[in-house]
Amino acid sequence: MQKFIVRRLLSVIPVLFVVSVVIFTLLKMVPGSPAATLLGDLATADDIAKLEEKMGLNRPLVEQYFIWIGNMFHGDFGISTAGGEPVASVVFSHVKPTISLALYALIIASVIAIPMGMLAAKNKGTGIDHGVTVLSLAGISLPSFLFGLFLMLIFAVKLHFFPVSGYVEISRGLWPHIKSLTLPAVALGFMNAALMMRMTRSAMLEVLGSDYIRMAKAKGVRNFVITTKHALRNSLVTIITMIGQSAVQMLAGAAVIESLFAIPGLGQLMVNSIGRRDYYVIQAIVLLIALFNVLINMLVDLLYGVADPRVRAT
Amino acid sequence: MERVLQIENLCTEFKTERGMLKAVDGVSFEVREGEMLGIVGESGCGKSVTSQSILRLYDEKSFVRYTGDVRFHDESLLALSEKQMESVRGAKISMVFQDALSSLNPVFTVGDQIMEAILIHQKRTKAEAKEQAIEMLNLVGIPDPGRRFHQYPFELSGGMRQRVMIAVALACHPQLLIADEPTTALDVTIQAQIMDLIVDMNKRLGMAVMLITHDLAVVAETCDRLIVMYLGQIVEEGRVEDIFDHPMHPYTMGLMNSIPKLDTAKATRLYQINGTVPLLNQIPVGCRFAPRCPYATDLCREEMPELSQVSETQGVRCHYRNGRNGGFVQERLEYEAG
Repeated sequence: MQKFIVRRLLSVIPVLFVVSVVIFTLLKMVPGSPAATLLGDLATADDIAKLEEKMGLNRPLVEQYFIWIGNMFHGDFGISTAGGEPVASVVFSHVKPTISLALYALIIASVIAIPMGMLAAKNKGTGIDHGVTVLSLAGISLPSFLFGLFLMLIFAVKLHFFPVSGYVEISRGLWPHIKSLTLPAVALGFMNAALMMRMTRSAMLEVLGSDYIRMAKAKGVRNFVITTKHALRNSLVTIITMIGQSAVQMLAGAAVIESLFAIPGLGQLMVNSIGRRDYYVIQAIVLLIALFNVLINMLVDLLYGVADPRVRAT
Repeated sequence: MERVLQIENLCTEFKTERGMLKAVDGVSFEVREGEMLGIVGESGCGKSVTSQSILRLYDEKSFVRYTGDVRFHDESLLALSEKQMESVRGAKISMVFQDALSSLNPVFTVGDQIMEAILIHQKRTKAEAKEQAIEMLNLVGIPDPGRRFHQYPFELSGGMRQRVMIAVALACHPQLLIADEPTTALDVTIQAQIMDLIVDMNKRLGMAVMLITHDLAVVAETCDRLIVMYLGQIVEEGRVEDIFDHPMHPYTMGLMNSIPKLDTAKATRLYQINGTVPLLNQIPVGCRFAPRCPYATDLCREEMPELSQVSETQGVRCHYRNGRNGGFVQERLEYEAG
């Protein structure tokens, strides 16, 4: 198992290297120099050239790349052209709400989706199954902002259970923090739950039809235990994959929900930075999302090993 | 000898898109204490469905309907609740299946899977169950059981896995073991070992065995009695030596003639029964075997024969059994078989 972990950790390095090269190249391919953007419309060619030299933009690309990478290792991601703040602190302050929201939404999605998917599979073809299918179809087809608006209207405006929008830092109390994130997390989680439910259902159906389930039944194992122990354990690989994918998606693409509920998260920062052509921030966010992606996939792979002994052995 | 299991007029029907299909149609037989009963027939004859109906393994909520009676000693199994049925499965009647690799749960260790059966049916602590599980592994002839206990099914060889499955089935000392083609997926040498093990367990534990197979040679060597099934019905039953000496149903004869013999010349074609087993929605009106039977007459095509006793121990479902209605000429079949 330790060997397996070390091997997986080492394989992250080349992936991140490739990602960083791609990001660097992409941003270099964008027309116009960051220096020109920084100086505004009134700058002369001379001013731009001076700033470019100061920023190291006139050096060979390979050298620029290594300087960029080197700086990153020191925690220096550049200065945001929009606010003049260091990119690292701008991004960092926006990561926290996103992670909180994603975690919360993920828990909601899993808690809804896994039991319901199991229930649907166990009662295949009955009213329960059809009900779950309709519900998940609704979840897939309903746009998240619309669902979010409904939630907001009912639970915030009418019932006053939760704040309409805005984000409360965890440092100001866990309960207000959770309260401020509940509606967006439900909106985000419900969407993901719909897909997860369907995947859980089909994974469970496949497993429930297998010989070892029949064997377990022939052994006298109770139906409930067959579903929750024998079948669920064998569906875990699919379910873990699903949760991992949802996590990546939530960390990278919750911009709509974040905007709707005015949560200062990564998605919002990304959209705003693109509007402001704040290249260094965009660069850092893309790299961060890539890092999340790689780390989550690694975690998923490690969990495969926990869930299925055959993975560990290979 | 006392009866362990008595089946009367069992019908198993499956709900499908094409309506109800009767996979088992009016099967009656009994299994006696300590005996080995063989059930043979081609694929699709209802052998496995019969055996799985005994333990009621199919999904009863929407899929299957059982009628008739299955009695274990004096208890009617079809009348039991699901909860009561759970205490029969694995404790009083156990089952082993064809493919041990797919029948053992891949994510649990061998030991866990044996222990699970023990912990469900017997009041044991985990430590006692573990000890008992290792004992079982030892009993079924697995070397170094203490180490094997902690291994996963994929880490074992095919024969070893089959032994593990038998250990799981026997963990609670059932009175009846249903072995559904336990050797089909194995090498010939391993097949013999596994059959030896099953026979040994039958003798040593006094446990009745219902052996489902399409290998007549295995039946000849191991079983006391034999049931031949065709398309959901019993077509012939009796003591193994009687049936092997005097098969009375053309289907049984065909099965026996299909066994390759060492003294047959190389150039002769192996005997085969013409055609294939019909689908369940295309069951013939008269005798179910008539479309494939070399001796079928109009009578066979119109009227279904009953299963009738021809001697105290042998029953046959054929209009022409024992020379009745003029009989059919056995020599002709042998001639055709070369």
